[in-house]
Amino acid sequence: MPISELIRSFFVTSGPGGVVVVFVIVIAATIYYLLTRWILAGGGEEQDSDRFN
Amino acid sequence: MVRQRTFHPENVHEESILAPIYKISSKDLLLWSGLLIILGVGAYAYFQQLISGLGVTGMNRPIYWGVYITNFVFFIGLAHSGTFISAILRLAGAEWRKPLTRAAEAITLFSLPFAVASIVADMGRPELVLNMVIYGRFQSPLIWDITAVSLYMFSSVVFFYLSLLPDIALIRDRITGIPKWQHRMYEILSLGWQGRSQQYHRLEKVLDWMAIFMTMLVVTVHTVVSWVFGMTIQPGWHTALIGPFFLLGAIYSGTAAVVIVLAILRRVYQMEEALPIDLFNSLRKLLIVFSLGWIYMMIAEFLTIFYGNIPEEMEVFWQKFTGDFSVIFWGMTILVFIIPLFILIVKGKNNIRWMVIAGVLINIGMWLERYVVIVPTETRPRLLYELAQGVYRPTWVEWAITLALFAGMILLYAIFTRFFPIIPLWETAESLEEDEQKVATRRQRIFGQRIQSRIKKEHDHANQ
Amino acid sequence: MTKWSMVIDLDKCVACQGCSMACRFENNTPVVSPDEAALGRSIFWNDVFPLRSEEESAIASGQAKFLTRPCMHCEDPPCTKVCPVGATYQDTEGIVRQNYTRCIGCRLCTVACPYGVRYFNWYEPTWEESLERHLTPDQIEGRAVSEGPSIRPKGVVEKCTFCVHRLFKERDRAAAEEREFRTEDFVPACVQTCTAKSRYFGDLDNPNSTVSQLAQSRRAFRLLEEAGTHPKIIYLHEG
Repeated sequence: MPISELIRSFFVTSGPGGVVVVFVIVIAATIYYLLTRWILAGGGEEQDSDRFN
Repeated sequence: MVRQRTFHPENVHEESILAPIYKISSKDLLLWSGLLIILGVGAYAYFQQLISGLGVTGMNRPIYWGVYITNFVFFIGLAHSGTFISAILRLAGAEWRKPLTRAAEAITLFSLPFAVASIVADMGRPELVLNMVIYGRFQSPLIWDITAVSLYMFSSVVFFYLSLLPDIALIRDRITGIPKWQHRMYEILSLGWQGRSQQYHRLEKVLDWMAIFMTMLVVTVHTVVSWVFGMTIQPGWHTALIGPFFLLGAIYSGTAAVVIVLAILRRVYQMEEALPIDLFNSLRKLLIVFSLGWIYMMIAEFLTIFYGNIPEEMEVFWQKFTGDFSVIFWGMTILVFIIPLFILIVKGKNNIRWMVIAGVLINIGMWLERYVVIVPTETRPRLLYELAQGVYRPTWVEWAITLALFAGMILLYAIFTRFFPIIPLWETAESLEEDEQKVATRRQRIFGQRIQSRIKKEHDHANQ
Repeated sequence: MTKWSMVIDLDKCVACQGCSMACRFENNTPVVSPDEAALGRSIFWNDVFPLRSEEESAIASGQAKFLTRPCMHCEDPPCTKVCPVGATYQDTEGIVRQNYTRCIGCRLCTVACPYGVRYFNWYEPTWEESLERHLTPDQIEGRAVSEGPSIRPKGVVEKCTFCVHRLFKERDRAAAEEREFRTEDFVPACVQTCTAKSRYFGDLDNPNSTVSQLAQSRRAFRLLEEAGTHPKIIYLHEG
C-alpha cells in the first residue's frame, strides 16, 4: 500500500480517531502519574511504595 | 503506617485562609439547596428531552445548533481563566498572581465538566457517546475537540491537584474538630506529603513544566473548539480569524470571571488581607488590554467581510448588524466593550464594586457573543439564504438546562471552598518551615527566580 | 466504476411536487404536525421550492421559478468529511449514505452541508394509522446497520440516498434472473414518478448514458459550484 493511501485511510476510516483519543489520554495519565511519584519521592526516610496510593 | 515527620510553610494569613474550612454555615446549606433545586429542574428538563427527543428545544432546520453549543463554547472560554492566570502568568513570572491562582484554577476545573455536559445535552443520541471512541474518525473536527478537551480537562485536574497537595497535607495536620471521614479524606488525598524542601523543589519544577504544556493546551483547545465551526464552509464561520477570536474572548471572559469570584470570596470569607486590592488593579489592567484586543478582532473580522462584500457573507453580516440579531449584536458590543472599558478606565481603579459590575457585564456579553457567532450563520445558510429564513426561539427546556449547568458549576465551587483552602497557603507563604536535616540543593533556573530566593531565605534562616 | 448521477431539466419541471411525494412513500419519511412544520421541522429528502423568495402572487400566477432539490451526492461531500463516527459516508458508487444505528445525532453534518439536504429526527417518527400500515418493507437492516427506508430512531440524521435499497433490489433481481445488472434497471422513486419526465438518472462514468450526454448540454449547471463540492445533481437551465 502506498504511504499516501495509508495516511489517507488513517483520516477517513472510522476507528483510528478513537485510538488516538485513548492513546493521548493514556500517555498523559502515565506521565502525570510518574511526575507525581517523583515529586513525592523527594520526601522523607522510608521509601515504601505504599505511600503513593 | 509509620507517621512521617511533616513540615509546613508559615503563612501569616493562615488563620483567615483556613477559616472557611472549619464550619459549614446555615447560609451555605441554603445556597447549596437552592442550587440543587435549580439542578433538579434542569435534570427534569433533560429527562423530558431524553424521553421525547430534541424536539422539546427550539432548534429546527436550519438552526441545528443553539443554546447548548453556545454554552459549550462559553464554558470552555470560562475555563481559560484558571490556566491563563496560573500557567501563563507563572511562565511570565508575574508574582502578583500567587494568591489568586487556586481561585482561578478552580473555575477551570469546575466549568470544564459542564462544557462536556453541554455537548452531551446537545446530542440526539447521548447513549451512543462511546461511538466517538469506537468509530472515531480523525478527519472530523469533533474528534479533535474530544481529544483536546479531554486532555485539557485531565491536565487541569492534575495541575490543580498537584498545587493543592501541600495545602491538603497542612489541613490534614493542623485542622481539628472536623468529622472523621473528612479527616480521612485529607489523609488519602495528601498522598503522604511531608513538605520536605526536596519535594517543594520538585513540585515547583513539575508545575513549571506543566505550565508550558498548559499554555500550549489553552491555545490549542479553544482554537480547536472554534474549528468545529471554522472547518465548515458556512458564511460567518469559515474564517481563519475564528480561532484567535474565540481564544481572546475566552481569556477575556475568564479573567472577568476571576474578578467576580475573587470579590465574592473576599467579601464572604473576609479575606481582605489575603486578597489585597492590588490584585484587582492588576486584573483591571489585563482586562483593559483584552477589551481592546477584542475590539481589534471585531473590526478585523467585520471590516474584511464588509469590504469583500460576498453575497452570502453579507446576508449573515446584515443579520447581525441590522437584522434579527441586531439587538443582541449591538447589546453584546456595548456589554463586552463599551461599558466595561469605560468602567475599567474611569471607575475601576481601587474600586472592587465597579470591577465586579464590569466583570458581570463582560461575561453576559461574551455569552451573547458566542450566541451571535453561532446562530445568525445558521439562519442564513449558503444555498437557502433566501428561502429557509430560520427563526430560533429557545424553549424553557434549554433555559432550564443552561441554568442548571451554571448552578452546578457554582455549587461545586461553593462546596470546594468549604473543604479546601481557596488561597494557596504554600505559594503565598513567607517561608517554608525549616527542614532541619536537608540543605536545599541548588536547582536549575527555568522560570522561577522566586524559588531560588525562597531557598536562599531558608538558608539564611537556618544559619541564624 | 459506476457513478450515479441525476439530471433535472428545470424547463420541463412543472413543480407538481410528485417527486417529493414519491420519495416520502418510498423512504418512510416521518410525517410531522402542522405546528412542527411551521417551526421548520418537516422532512423533505426531496424538496421543491420557489427559487427566489417569490411573493405569493408570483407563485399563483405561475411566474415563479421553482427548484427541486434532492441530495447533491457531492463527489467531495462536506458532510461525510466532518462526521465523527463515519455514520455518513460515500459508497464506492458515489452515493452519500447514512447509517442510522451509528449516528450519534451531533448534527455537525447538518450544519456543514451548504445545501441543507440533511434532516434531523426531532421526535420519534410517527405516521397516521393508514400510513403506518403502508410503510415500505424494503428496509436495509443488518448488524449495526440500518439505512435507507428503515425506520429511524429519534435523534438521528437522515437524508436522500438515491433510493439505494432499489439498487440492492435490482442487483438481487438480476442475479436471480442470471443476467448482467444494467444501469437502466435502477431508478430512484422520484425519477420514476416524475410527471413531466424532467428527471434523468444514470451512470455519469459511461459517456454514452443519458446523464452524461445531458451533462454536456450548454444549459447544464450545478448548485453552488463555487463551494467546491462537485455535486452529481446536474440541473438544466430553463429556456
